[in-house]
Amino acid sequence: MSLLLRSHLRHLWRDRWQTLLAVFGIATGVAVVLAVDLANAASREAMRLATQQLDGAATHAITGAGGRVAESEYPGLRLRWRQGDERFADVRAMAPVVTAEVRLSRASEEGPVWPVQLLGVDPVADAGMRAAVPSPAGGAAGRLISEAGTVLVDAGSLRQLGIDPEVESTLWVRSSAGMRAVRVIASFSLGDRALGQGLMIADIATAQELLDRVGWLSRIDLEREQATPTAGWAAFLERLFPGLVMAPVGSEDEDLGGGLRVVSLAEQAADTRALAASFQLNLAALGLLALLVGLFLVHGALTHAVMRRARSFGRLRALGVQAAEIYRMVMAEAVVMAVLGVLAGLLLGRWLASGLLLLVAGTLENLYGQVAAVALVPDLLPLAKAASVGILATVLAALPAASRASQVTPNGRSMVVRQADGPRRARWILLLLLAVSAALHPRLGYAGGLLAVGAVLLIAAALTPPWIRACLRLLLHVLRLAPLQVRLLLRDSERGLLRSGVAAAALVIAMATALGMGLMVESFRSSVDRWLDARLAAPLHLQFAGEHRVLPESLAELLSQSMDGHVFRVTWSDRVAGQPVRVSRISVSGELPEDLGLAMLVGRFAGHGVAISEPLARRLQLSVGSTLTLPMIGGERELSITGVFREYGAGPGLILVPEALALPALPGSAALELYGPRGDLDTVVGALAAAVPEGTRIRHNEALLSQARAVFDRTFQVTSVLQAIAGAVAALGLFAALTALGLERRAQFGVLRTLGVGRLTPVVQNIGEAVLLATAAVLLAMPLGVAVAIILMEVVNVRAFGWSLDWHFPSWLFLQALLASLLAGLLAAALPAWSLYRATPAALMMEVRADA
Amino acid sequence: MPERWQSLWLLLLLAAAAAGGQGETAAPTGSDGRPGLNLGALIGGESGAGADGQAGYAVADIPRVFDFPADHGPHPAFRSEWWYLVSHLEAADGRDYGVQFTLFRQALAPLVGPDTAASRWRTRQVWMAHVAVSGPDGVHRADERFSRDALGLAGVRAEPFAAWLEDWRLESVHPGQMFPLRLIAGVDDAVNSFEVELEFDGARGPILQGDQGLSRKSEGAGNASYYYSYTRMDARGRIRLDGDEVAVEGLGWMDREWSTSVLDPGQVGWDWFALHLDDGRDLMVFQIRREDGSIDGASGGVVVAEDGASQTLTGADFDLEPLGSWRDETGAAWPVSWRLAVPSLGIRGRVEARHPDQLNRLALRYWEGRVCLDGPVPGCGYLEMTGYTAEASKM
Repeated sequence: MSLLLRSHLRHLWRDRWQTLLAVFGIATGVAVVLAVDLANAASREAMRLATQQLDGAATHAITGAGGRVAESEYPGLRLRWRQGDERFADVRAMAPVVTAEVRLSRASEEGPVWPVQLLGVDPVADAGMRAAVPSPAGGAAGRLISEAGTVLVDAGSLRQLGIDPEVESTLWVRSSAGMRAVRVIASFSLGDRALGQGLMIADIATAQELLDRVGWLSRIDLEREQATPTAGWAAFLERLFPGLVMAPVGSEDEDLGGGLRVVSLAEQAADTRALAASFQLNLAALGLLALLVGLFLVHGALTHAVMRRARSFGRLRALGVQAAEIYRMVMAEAVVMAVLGVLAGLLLGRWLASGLLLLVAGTLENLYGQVAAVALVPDLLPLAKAASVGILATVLAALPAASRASQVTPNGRSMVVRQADGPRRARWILLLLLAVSAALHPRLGYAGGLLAVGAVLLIAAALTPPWIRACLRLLLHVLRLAPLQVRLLLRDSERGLLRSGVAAAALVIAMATALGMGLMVESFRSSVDRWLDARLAAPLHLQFAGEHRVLPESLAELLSQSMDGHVFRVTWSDRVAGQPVRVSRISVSGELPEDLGLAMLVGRFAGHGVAISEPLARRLQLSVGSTLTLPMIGGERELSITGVFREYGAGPGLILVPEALALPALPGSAALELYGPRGDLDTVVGALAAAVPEGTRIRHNEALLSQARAVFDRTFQVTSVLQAIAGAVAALGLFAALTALGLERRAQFGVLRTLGVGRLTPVVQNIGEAVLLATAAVLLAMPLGVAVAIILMEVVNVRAFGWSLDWHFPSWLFLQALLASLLAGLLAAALPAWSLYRATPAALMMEVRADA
Repeated sequence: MPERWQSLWLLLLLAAAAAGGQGETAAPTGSDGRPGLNLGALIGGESGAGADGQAGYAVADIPRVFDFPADHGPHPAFRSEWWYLVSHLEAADGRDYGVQFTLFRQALAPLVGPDTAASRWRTRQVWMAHVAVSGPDGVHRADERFSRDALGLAGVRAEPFAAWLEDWRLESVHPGQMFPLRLIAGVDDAVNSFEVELEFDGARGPILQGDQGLSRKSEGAGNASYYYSYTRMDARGRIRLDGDEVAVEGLGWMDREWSTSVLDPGQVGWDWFALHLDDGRDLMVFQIRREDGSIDGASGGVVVAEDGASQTLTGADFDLEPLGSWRDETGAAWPVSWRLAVPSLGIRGRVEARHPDQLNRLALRYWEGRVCLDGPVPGCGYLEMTGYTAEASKM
């Protein structure tokens, strides 16, 4: 074995705890990157399953002129699909649908009526597509197909009509085709899945006959593969950083010829997807930041190791070992640590991810009463990605240490350990500041935002030693009359900074990251809550479709008179400057009612102008004071903008119009929402069902709201776990720093003890120093954490998704950071302090000799 | 052979009933991973297992006069019916291939009175089709489709003959004559990529099975099916399998059967052999296995001479003994090697699968593949096995 290698191994062994900590640091970083990746993949799958349970697997639909498709088109379309027509290349299933809003009643004349959606399907073609359509395994499908007039109705609707869901019954269906009797052969539970609306399922033949629509389909549902890039760089990037390359939401309609078009279904699903993508992007950022913390641990450990071995390097140099050989030796050491750390990290990450998956699976189980098949998506790519990121980053982090080691002169003096590196540091900080401003350039998009976060954290690292030095000097000045021991502690801490600086920087980065992520997640959470409130604030939602696509103005009037204390909101589709928008007229002209749940970003909602949503404002570059033009039927109409409100989701922009402007609703699909007392909604629904025109869809939003909340709450549990991991990494950083410091100081304490200082003194010194360092670090980490959070929220999210998050900085997060930091500091100092307490002065002095 | 598909339906029904009774939710999974359509349960919804389910359907109880080409078409008064075709083929370079196409019709409810439904979607029939292709090196691909009997999506027409489900078609090339028949079927999706285009001509048959085409299954009246076969057809055409296209030639076998009654629930599966012997004879033998491991008395077969003369065989006329098994991923052991002896015909030897894994992993799971007989009179053909499960294999 060569001299070099033996010396190398001996040092590694002597510093085994430091080495182990560094390896563990890499492992944790790699693990978080991997766990986030895997958990993201699984949560995407869970999200897909959840949407499938709610809305069916259908992602697109073929529609025709007048909102219907001749059934004679269906066999031909099916053949085109089967024979590989490229327009259907990514279609997995195709199923015809005949649907309408109808009302159910017990008797043909008097009695209560209840609104339901009639869904006519072909159970054979539909198999597996919609959870609500009973699987043929239930046995009911055979009767639905072969017996005319048989239906399935959800148990909730049957109970509303006073019918026992357990027994077969006969009901009357009222539709635009008149009144027909149906045989309810079974009921099913919508349970938590309730879409806020009753559902009646029939065979497609029965549906055609009930609605007098023989020969016609409402649409043909398609289940398509997820619209992600499938080829080229975009596909590769999407796989590498899921969520970064987003397929455009609400892609263009496709023309199939013969008046048929393929349209994308469910604006709501697109909203959910966009939110999920944002969430995953933020999680991915957390993973990368965790790795950065790990890197500082590596950097600290290696620097420490190199400095401890300065004399040894000097001797080696004196023996004729080349500087380049020493450089290679330190780098080899780093690579070994990297490989060990990455291997451990991959195992740890896999384990973490399966834990996160349990949370995801728990969500689905709560929602659907069954454990959906959520599993880790077996894929080598995330593993390869985490591994190569880990190794590459470790090597980068080791470069400065290796360079230092190779610069050690034969007399054992390190050329770079010098007091006055201020100007060099200042140059670094200046360079990084330039990098931040460059990265924030709009052309770099949200990737630039992420780079900026990284640069800010590096600035934090560079700032740490001077900051702590300044703190200590200030303290020394204030406490200049304090006992000698206190002053000794402060001076020693300052002197130790030369060596503990790197470790303290790691701590600052870790704390800033944990805090920044915590703030971002809290803000994200409160924003989503508000968004959900705004979206589903109305307890009742009426959708006018079919022949009554225009809202009957008289109905709104009637309702506002008969239902006192309620606010009405009428929403329709329009275009502004070529962009699709939704226009919403509210039956108030002053302040917006609380329960609308809309948060104003700028300005306010006033009677003389409109308020617009943030994404729309950004897209059209509008702000308070500017005007927008609506192409009204009787000529264009100029509207001044009085406010901008927050909106999350992928739908078209929203324009809020006060009643005072008396804007008539445009023809097209219009919706009416009812806000106000949530009391006896069932009575209201019953009354409305009797009053509204045929084909009106009535939806309860309450069930939908609680369900959406459940989904998001569970999803956020994943972030709490990741936050805890980031906190653990931070504590680890502190532990590494203090242990290193403790080792450095043993020799010094040996001298002190020999001089007759009591054995308690080193202990107090050690713990006091830990508390000082931790406090100073966390004080610096707090503003930096806020900076990280702001860049994430105001740059990354805005650039990626067009919305900014509602700032929500709870004080407990800061307090938590401070306490966690102090606690970790105390814990980390305890071990070295205990060891110092027990060591005899002789033993300590022996270490001094060994070191020399 | 006669009862095999009937038994299959029955097994499915029982399986569905058992699953329902125990509250289990394990649904069969289709080849593309989505929940498969449990057709057994679908028909279970209307007609429970047992004689009660027969009410309203026509039954096969006495020999009938077959009327061609009308009988090539469907018989909707009966509960179930199938068109079944297998073919073992060779490419010019000697590589061997196999093709299976099966179209099933199942009634959901008996036909009562004239159909007065307004909607063209109204039907009482559903169709299921299976296509499987096996190639050299043990490649085996299978796919399935389902459709209701509406809008011409699936069906069978007697004259000119055509049997189809979407773009999978078996049909007469020339109007007015049954043969030649052309089969076109294929699939290109994430799981499978294959295509077959074959022509069948020079058919030997129709051979009426059992008693003038009435194939009895047990003592009970009406427990029988109407059954005829074309036992040998010359086949030629092309096969594209995983991107590799070859011209092939070989022999084919076609079965036609319809019935209503169901079999004894004690029967768990069957082994069915259809062999083209090198001396020009065609041999079919089958045995039905019972729960207790014994062989059912309903086992039988047929031998057809070169001139088309056929002779019915009973279970006493032949011996079948499994020699070796292949285990699938579920642990079920499928006997892919057999000793076959028909002493009265001078036929004996070892029947070996060309490749052990010719399992159709569809909503119905069964083994259907090419085999060859090694003996004094060699030959090749198809073997079909059902009802082998992991549980049964452990016993």
